[in-house]
Amino acid sequence: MSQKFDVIVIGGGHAGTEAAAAAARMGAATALVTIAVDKIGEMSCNPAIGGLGKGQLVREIDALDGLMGQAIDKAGIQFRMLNKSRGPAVQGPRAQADRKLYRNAVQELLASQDNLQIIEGAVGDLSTENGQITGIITEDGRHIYAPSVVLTTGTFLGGLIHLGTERTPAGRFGERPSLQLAKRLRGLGLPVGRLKTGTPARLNGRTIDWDRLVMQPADDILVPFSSLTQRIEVPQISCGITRTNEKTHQIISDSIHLSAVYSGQIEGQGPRYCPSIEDKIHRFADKSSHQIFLEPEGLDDSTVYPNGISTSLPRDVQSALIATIEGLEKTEILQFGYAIEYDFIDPRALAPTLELKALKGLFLAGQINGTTGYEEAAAQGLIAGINASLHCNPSAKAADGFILDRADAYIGVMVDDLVTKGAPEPYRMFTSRAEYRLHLRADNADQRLTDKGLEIGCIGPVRSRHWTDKKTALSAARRLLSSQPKGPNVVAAAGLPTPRDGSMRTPADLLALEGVGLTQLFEIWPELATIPEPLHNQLETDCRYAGYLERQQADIDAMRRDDAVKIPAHLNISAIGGLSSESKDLLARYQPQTIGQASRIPGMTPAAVVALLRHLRKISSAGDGQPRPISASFSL
Amino acid sequence: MSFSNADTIFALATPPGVSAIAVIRISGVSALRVPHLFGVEASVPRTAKRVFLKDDRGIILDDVMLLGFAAPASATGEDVLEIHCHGSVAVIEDILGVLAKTEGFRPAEAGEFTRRALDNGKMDITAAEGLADLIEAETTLQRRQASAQMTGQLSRPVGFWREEIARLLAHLEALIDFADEELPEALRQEIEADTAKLCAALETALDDQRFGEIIRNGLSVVIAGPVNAGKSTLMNLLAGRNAAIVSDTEGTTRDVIEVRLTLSGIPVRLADTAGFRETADNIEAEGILRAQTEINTADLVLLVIDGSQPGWAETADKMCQEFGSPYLIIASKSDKGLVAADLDEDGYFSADLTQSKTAQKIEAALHSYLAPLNQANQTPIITRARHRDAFAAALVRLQHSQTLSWEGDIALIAEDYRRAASALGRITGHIDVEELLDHIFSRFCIGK
Repeated sequence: MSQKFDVIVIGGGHAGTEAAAAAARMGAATALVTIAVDKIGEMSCNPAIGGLGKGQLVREIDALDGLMGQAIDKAGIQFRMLNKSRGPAVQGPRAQADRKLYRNAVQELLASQDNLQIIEGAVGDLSTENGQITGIITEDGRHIYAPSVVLTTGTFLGGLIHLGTERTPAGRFGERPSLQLAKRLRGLGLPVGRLKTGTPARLNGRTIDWDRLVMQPADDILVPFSSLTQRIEVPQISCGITRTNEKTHQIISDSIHLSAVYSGQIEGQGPRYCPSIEDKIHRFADKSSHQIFLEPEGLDDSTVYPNGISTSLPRDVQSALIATIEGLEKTEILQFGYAIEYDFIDPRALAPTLELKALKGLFLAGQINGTTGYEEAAAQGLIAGINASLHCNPSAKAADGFILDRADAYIGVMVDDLVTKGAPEPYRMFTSRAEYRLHLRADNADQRLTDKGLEIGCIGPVRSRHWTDKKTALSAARRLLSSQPKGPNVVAAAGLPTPRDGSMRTPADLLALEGVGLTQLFEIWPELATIPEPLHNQLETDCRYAGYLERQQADIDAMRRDDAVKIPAHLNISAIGGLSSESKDLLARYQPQTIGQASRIPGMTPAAVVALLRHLRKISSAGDGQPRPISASFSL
Repeated sequence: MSFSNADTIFALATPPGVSAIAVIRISGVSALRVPHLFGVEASVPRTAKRVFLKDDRGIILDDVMLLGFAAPASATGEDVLEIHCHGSVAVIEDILGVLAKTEGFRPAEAGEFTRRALDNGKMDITAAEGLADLIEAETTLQRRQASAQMTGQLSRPVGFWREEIARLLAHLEALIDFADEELPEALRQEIEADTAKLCAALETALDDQRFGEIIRNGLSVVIAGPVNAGKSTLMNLLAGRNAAIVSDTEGTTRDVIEVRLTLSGIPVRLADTAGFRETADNIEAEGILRAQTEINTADLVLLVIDGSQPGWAETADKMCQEFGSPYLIIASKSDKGLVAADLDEDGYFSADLTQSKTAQKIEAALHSYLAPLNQANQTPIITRARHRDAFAAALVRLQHSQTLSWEGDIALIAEDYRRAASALGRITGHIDVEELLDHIFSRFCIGK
């Protein structure tokens, strides 16, 4: 028996579901193949979506009509806007999720998606022909054909769980890993590495003494992730906060040699920003206490996720250490914490479309590319799904694929980081990774991306209408804000700050001043009251940041110029004059595709980039059709 | 341009012309093979050897010393050979001739030894700039400064500032990206205090009266004044007395004549400008315009005015009000009488430009103006406009950050630090986010 599709997506996690939905939205006949259909949309680790940098990613996924924002809006049980007081550019929406509601929401969204078929099965092999993927073969022998395949294996690829000294091959706790596929990928000669991550024990919430704990409620005003969501209807809960103490630390120090991480059993590199509790105590010995957030996993689920004490210590040590913590003295452990090691493919083997350079038609997304986090995975899934569908449609407009750059989106920052620098540790998004942070905000994701999505066809009709309306309202509002300048007397009479330069000011000019809000301007410009309230924040921020954004635009232009200078795929690196052997090594190892990428390789000197540019200019003037480099943002 | 690092490059490292000893420097993969080209069997790395170089007919060219350096322990990071031969034009030409016709060898392009050293990580850009300055150094002060820069006078403090900015920015980024973590409560105060210190250090470095650049480029002294006041005479007088004239470029494209000389150990670019007068002549008007520009950017203006004309002091005062630069007024033609009485005041001289001791007098005045520069006991950090621009830009951003409220938008504060970091990064190499994350994760216990 055999079946044919345009796009096959392997894996039903956050990357896989976005990839499948995106490909199907683009009109490709799509199959989602997963080991367990009922686990589609499962949250393996912390039941929360969003956060700093990550919240921006979810808004961007939503702006391209992805699933994640809509799903969390139906499943969020504690919505909070992080960094509320630290400025609009760095605010990140975050929500605690009801694990079951989230899974259901994702599965419903997929069920209502046209062009999408869900197939249960474990993928054992890939079929290829002339360096091009042709389909997959399930472990039970079914052959499914497609010119594009998206691989989103998460931690299942060669997954190995460590609990104390015990080792169990698994993809998630109690779920079998993909060993055959892992072997197959290693056989393709791809650069495979090992990473690790960890998860804490799960607790029975009914056995926690909540009364003694500080509780953290949801925000008063619940801000949805998706621009399609009118309001959040899920009831909101509070999380508890407790702390480790010296007794806890003593138990951990005494048993640290039993931790899989410290016994030398684990070869994979773990993330520095997500250390296990034994790591924290070992590395920050002077800290006598660490915070723990007790996060309920659902409204009618008593499971609690103790955020802050991920561990791979043996069971008895986990029991003992948890019992030392205030409020958890009598707590029942439902599932012990563990560390998991898994295979990943060095993402430098990928083009920015997330297609493998070495095997046409095979796209990778999510943890297989060395990232961590649902949001990072989903965002890659979206990009891979769009490009997989463009790949099997030769008449598509975007011949080079759909690529966002570092000034378009956090998604662009992440993909560029991955394909340029690889993933020496599990990659997580931070706002500090974005050079153009003031521009890449959670509040303007749709303005940055939805039109791009419409151009390539990944936006469904509902969002398309919604966005068109919003765009009209925005441009009308902008017109109002930049007209009708008034003199200082009028401004001062309304009690607004009046710089003493005597010049006329538009509403936009005034909004640029600290402490001025849109509603304060209604007295002078009554017509501003027609601007829909949901747009206020965003317009205020745009005006406040205008000066900064203008300056940043020059940097963005320079970056785009450098990114436009392509480096030929088979560049003879040894022929480049004036390049140190270190720089040649770096170029050989990272194989940058543009001058911009080359300049972002860690350790690449400005001098080396200039030498590379000079060489490209030389071979382009020799008339081999290379675009002529315009500039580099370096000067010696 | 056709550079290739596969080539072995060579050049005469000492000035051309007759001298006791000349040094030919050779760098590249075949450099240590060079003795064989001259019929010498010698293993040269890490030794100094006296040998006789022979031409292809076996005739002795010269009695030389060979100094060999094996890569990477050499000035360029490649194999390097120095031939110390006699400074005879014929000998040098013969040796260079042999090298030039050997395959894989070519004469070095300008600056190519330095570039290879830079590429091979033998020096950072600021050190390379120091080396270029050392080679071009004309005066003792310039040499002292250039060698200070080469040994890290610039890169050491700048490296420290860069490190400070990276650390401060990392702390700010931690406050943003890890807002829900338990960061030290005093972090903000720490950032503010350390920023103030850094600003003070940058201010001190910038507040050096541009001494470093003056030493490097020479002090620009412009002679100005009405026509026929004696400007050219003064120029000739000063230039003629000084043996240390390095070059004089005739103003072919502009009506300014420039002479370089050394006064008090400081190189001076002395420029004579077109005389002031109302003119209908377009070309002359253009010359006067250029003179104005020269005057306004000069480090010192010598205003020459005919002291025998009644009312010269008033005229001079009026003119000086227009100047954007410090000035001395020289009342010339004192041999023809008049010259006003208030000569004891600062900045006024009477001068008989026909007397050579007049030159001494003016030089003494110039000297007293330059002496404070010469006595500066600390070598200046900033020697190039490029560096000054970068430091000034960083300082402006840091100072701006101090005006912003921490209660409001700290992303904007961080933006100032980011721009400051990127300004300094133009001198020292850019600050990558991984470097910031390293700072954050090594100092703070982050993560759940």
